[in-house]
Amino acid sequence: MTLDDRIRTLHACDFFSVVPEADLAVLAETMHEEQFGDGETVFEYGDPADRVYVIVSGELLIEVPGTTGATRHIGPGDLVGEYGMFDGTARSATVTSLSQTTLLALDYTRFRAFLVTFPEATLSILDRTVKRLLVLERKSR
Amino acid sequence: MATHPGKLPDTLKQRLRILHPDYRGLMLALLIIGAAIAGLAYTSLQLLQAIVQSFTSSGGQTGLPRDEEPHFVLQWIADNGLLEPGAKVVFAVLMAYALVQLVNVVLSFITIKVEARLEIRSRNDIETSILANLLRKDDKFFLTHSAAEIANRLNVDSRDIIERRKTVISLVTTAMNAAAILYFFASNNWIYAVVALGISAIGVVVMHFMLGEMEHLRREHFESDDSIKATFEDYLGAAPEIQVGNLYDKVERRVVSVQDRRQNAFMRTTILNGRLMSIYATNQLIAFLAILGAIGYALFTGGGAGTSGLVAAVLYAVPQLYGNISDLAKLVMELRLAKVSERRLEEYESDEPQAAQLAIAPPRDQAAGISLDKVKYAYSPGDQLRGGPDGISLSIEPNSLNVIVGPAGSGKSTLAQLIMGRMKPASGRISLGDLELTGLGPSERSGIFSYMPQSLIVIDGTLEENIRFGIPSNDPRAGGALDENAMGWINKTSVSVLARERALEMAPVDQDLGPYNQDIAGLRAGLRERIEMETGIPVMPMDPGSVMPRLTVLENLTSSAADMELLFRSMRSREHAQSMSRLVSMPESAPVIDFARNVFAQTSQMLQRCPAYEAYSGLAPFPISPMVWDYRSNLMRMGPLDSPDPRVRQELLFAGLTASPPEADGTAVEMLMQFLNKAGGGAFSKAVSEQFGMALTPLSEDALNANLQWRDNLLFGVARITNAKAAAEVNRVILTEIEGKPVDAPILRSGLRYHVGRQGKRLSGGQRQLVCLCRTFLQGNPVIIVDEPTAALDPKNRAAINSLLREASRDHTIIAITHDVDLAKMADKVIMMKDGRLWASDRFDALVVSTLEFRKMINMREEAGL
Repeated sequence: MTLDDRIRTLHACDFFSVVPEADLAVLAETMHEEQFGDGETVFEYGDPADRVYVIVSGELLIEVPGTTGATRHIGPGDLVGEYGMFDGTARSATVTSLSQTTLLALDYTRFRAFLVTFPEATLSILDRTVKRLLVLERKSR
Repeated sequence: MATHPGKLPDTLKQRLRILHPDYRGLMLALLIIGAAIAGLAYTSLQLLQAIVQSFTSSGGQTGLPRDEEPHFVLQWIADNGLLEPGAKVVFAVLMAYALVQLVNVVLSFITIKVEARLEIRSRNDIETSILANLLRKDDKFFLTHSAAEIANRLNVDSRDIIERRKTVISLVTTAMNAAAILYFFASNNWIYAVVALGISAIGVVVMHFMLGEMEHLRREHFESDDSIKATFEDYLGAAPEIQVGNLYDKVERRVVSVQDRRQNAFMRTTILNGRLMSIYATNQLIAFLAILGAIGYALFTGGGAGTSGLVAAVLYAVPQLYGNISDLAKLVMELRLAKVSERRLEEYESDEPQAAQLAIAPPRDQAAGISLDKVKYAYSPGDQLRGGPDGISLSIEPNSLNVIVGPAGSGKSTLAQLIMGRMKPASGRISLGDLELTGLGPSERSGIFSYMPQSLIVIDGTLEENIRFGIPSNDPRAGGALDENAMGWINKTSVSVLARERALEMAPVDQDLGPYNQDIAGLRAGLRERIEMETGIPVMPMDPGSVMPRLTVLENLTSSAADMELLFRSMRSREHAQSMSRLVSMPESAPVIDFARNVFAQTSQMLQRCPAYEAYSGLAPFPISPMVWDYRSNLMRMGPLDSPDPRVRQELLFAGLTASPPEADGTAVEMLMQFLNKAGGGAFSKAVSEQFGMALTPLSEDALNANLQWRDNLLFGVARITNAKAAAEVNRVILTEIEGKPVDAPILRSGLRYHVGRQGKRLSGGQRQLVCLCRTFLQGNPVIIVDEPTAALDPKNRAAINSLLREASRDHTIIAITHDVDLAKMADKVIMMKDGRLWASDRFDALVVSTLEFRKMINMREEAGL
């Protein structure tokens, strides 16, 4: 996967799309590729959480054990594992690959290092998050 | 600087004098050569005149001109019978002219050499003298003169001053040159000389009136330049705050305002210079026209004797003459302007005379108490007297531990400065036993006190150089192997722990390892087992030939985990530049170069956009050393890396050799790994081993290897270390295991050679403190004064140093300025300062009972957890 492919993937990912272009290129370089086969588990509920994944290609299934019907399908451009980024030590769901899947992985330590080094990127992510919170707050009223 | 025994060194003012005796010899030599060149200028004019006359009058044929008076050179040749019948006169004179020019060239060459010597000697001497003077300045001086300002003056002003010596000689020799030309004119017709001189004087007079303003502008320009440099110093020091606060705009605005001031002065100077130059140019033109007019008149009126030769010589001489005269004016101006620099550097003159290093110091084992009797002091002359109405009276017992406490600004440090004599009391006495300290000179004091200031000074050198820094060079302990006493302090201050830890990352270069090879195989096997057992970290025994992911390509190719730093330096050295170009011409280098390109493709954004190594290493998927990072960042700036330029390929080969295979993903790595595994005995691998053979020796399980860092050497294996915590664990096991074993000695020796970096940047704050404490103890004078000895230390080291101070007080008088309550509790005497005076002094327990302010201060500290 070339750097341009990676940047394109990150652009398509809602969470990272707000990061300025130049910083996104750095972020793309800090990530590494992981491949999973059909039916393979990416991580299991309760596993220690240490990285976030961006889906490049393929389909994943998210299940929360103990609940019925609480499943969700995700695909290219989606993000998985971001909850553990700021808080959380264990995975809150089980994720299984439903096809041949390519993911871009970014460990939390590096992600934090990236946020510290590139404040513009941090601010845009923060800005996006706060806006979402406001929308949620308005909805809950 | 040349100092003679029994003679005081020169003051800075004397050293700056143009005609300082040290440079008179060289200046005289320049003068003599200058005079000779002036003589040659005159001679060549006469020869030129003779050549022209010989041509025009007799067509260059034998004999003298028939219709005018012969030139004296021609006459002389004819009189001395130097001409063969039928020979051409002009040829002989031409040869003489060429010879004169040749001598001129030789003399000019010698001038350059002598001038260079004069310049470098002047520069060296000024620098040494300024440093010697500055080191004697008090703290107040450095509040107003920043390091950046000093560096700037050392550069700008000293250059102007050094130039002056050459300028004076140029002035004299240019004057001689001009005089020679004028004499030539005068010998033909004195009117020419008068006209030339008269007109050139106009420029000099005008310049004289402009000089005052020039000097003023020069001063303003230099001073604003000082401010810019000082601003750099301030803001670079504040870089972390500026980064966090995003204060770049603010900083830029401040710099621009100082730059504006400099720009203003600079522009005005330039305009003034331009005006001067135009005056010169006009002046030259007028003078030239006047001369031509005079010649025209001479020709028109039928001329006098020798007119034909004179015309040619005048055309040659006039530009020279005016060049000389405007040079003279400029040189005078430069000399006057250098006065500004002279006055700026004279500010660095110290009031304290530079006595020669005095050998007399009181016996080191002398145990004497210190007493202060009604001491009052002032921060500057005429300032308010401090120390309370009766002054400070205090006695400090010999060989005791004393602490000075008090709130900020209470006079704690001042009291220490007074005792050490760095500050003179306005009244009262300070004595050590019977010895009055007040009147002692710096050399006598140096045998009494050892001092560790609060702002720690770590020099750019090894740990060992740092701990020996306090010992004067004429002390036998300054050189040779460290004695038992020194090793004792190194151990007691835990500098040894630091040294051993650092040694694990260093190779045992320049050490005789033979004596330590006994049972090394057993020690290695035991260590590997212990590490796996205690930390769970697997250690793979070394196996030459296998590709280990942690190692770089180079290490893989040569089957050796050599000291990377050593290798890197050796590969970048000039002697190996050729080796690199040989390697790059081998077809086998292609996969390594492709691999390097791939590494750059995977990390180029990070390399370009991460401002510092720390930022890069936080993001990069694979760790690289600061050296490699620095190299790669510079290479990125070199230009496109896909260029077929052999220089770029050579750099890429180097980048590939110093990279680790897992650094880049994709097929390039696979290809490279195949290549490396195959290359065990391949031509390329062999060539690499040969070219860098000095750093690569075969590994043996039964002997230590000078190129392997101590950790790998002791393990003879590679521990799978994934993070810093794991590395510390492995180090701990190794260091515990080797404790008391003979091999500990060379490890400690290696560690003491650890280079601490500029201002000790490669040490932590606490480590710097331990090194400075070790230095102070090692100096070992009867009275040891330490300012905040434990401020930067963690609780464990703090307790250890406190007990060390207690222990050292058995044979030293210790005075510590501190905020550490625990140290105060251990002291024989607590001296409390408040509002610039001695508030109370007693043992800790007694003070708590007797003094309300002390109680308050202690309670506040304990609440704050200090």
